[in-house]
Amino acid sequence: MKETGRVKAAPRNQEWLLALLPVFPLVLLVTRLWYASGQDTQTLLLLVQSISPLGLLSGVLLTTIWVLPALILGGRVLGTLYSISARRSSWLVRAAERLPGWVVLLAVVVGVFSWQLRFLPTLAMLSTAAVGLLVRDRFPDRRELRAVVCYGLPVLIAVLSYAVLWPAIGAALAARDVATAILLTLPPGATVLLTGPVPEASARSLTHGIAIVIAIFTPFLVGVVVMKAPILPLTALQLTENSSSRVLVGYLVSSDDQMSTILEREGAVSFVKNSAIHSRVLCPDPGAVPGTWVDLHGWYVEQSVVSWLAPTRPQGPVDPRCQGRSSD
Amino acid sequence: MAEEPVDAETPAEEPTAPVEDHGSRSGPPPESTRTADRARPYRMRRFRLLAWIALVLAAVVVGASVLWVRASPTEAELWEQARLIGKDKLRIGVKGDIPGISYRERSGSDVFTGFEIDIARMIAADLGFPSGKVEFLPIETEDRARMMATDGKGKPVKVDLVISSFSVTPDREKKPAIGFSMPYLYTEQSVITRSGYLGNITSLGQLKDMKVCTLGTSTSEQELAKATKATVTGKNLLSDCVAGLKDDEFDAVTTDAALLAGFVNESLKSKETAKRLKYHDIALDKDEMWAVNVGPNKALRTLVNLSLYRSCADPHDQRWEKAYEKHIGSMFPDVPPHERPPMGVAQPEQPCGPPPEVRRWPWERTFPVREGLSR
Repeated sequence: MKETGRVKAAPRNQEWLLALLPVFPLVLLVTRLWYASGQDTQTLLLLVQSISPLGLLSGVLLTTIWVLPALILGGRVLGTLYSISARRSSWLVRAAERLPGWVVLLAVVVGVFSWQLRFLPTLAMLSTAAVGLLVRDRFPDRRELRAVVCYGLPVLIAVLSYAVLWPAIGAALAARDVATAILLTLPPGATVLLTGPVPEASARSLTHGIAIVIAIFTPFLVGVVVMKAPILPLTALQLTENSSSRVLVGYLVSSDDQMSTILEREGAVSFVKNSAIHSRVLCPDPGAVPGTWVDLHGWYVEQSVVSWLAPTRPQGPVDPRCQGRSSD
Repeated sequence: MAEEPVDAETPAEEPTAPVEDHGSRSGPPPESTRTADRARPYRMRRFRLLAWIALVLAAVVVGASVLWVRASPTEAELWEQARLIGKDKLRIGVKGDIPGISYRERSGSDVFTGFEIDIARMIAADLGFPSGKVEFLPIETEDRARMMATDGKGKPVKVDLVISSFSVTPDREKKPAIGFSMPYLYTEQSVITRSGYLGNITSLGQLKDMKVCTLGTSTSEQELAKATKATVTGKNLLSDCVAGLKDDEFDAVTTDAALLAGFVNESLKSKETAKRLKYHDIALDKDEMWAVNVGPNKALRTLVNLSLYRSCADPHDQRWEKAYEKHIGSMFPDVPPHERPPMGVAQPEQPCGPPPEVRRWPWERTFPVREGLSR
């Protein structure tokens, strides 16, 4: 049977691969617990027993949701770029073409809300490039439409971006923050060059090279992010045992009417009688302090729209108990 | 993964020369236009390729800078690095015999008062140690560099901080065992004599042929050795020098003005004129900068600097100012202003250094005071 299009070029009965999709988060979850238990099987079993998989899964999804727009948009742009540059099909092109438009649109919306401010110009660049390449691919004869979408729109977005972002760009340059300056400056200007084909000879190595690098590094990146994300609340318990007082700082695994189970930061598990607990305090997460102070009218570049709009709790003084000292 | 040529829906383009599909396909264009049309898309495509390569390089640079350029540590990370987590008490070496600066009340239990004690409490509070978790231990002048104090039973104890009128000097800064924080007080060198001394001493040269006492291993001793050939006695405790001065063992005592002022202030309360002391302001334009010795613990030094910086940069933080006013600014209450030390005994403003490299919340521009712990 003659193939009628590049989209339908590879019906290879690979649907079973879809079954592997849930495996990745599952592996991540178990690895996270194994990491938290300090590679001790007994501790791992205790954690598995005590931790709600649904809660943990939602925690992992929330910390990694920003990856999805990057993968979807990146795949779409690279696939379409190769398709219009070389007029050939490949696994990348097929993957791009199989992504429904609404999925791409949803990915952009998720990106807008979950990406940090400093990555939003990149999101705008990828979205505009995806639209431009789509127009070239689908409407090769609509010259006016192409002029508007592939040249007019990127230039307009670049001008708007620079107009809006210039205080943050200035602040990043003043703070010698190279990464932020590049992230805010380069993508808007480069967008107009991403809406068309590249030389056919280099198209494959460029698009597939980038796609393979992304495919290889993303699981590692996600893994690192998940490993660093807290899964249990860090608490400090002030204990009174045999008329002496000591403070136990660790992650609260579970608590029933008799005992509290604490996973200490060094990995050891302690079971504490509830009657010995004199006081308990929730310790702040020290890892959330941003690395750069560059901001756009009070919107710090490491904040996403959601985190910018949501109210924040003012940082109070750290309780001495969180430093392993009794409070009195 | 195999590449498959697509034939069915490929637009009618030249198979050999990829063309920017922007032209109308109605009718063959003239030869010259076709050549130009072919060249332009190629240039454009190459240009786009360069843009893609630039973006990839930029992504590498951004990724590398995120991975390798370590942001400054947070306060919590510094606590961890400074080994303060789980530490039950903060031991601070202080002088203990200097009225107004660091004085140990002899009556009753060990109660320390003075400017340096208040500064020590401020720093300790910022490090997460409330008053009850701070232990003050008397330290002798010669032991300040090695940070060894003595506890109540006379046993040597290593302290975490030395806040003991320790002046910053280039020689001391070179020693690996000494780690100075930013200064917390500027003072100068001065001389005291018995109140019966006629005339004013305005330079160290005037101490020639006098019996002078000062603190051993102090900056004053070195200055004195440079300036004069007086008979110099170095003592470990300034109170011993002052006692010797009162008992006619010495003719003069020289060291930092802020240290001597307290003794003069105390002596003026005495009804015996012979026991009263006289303060001389000498013309030496060298500032003595007192700083905290934290030893080789760099994270602890950053935390101490953070506390001092908070105190000087935040206009709402009046802890230093209150300590100064309470202990130094209020000296000589009964002395008429014209008889007081002319330039004061110490600079009434807190010295302020650059902000320490600590990652913090952007809205903490001036590092707010840790309310509730320190006051």
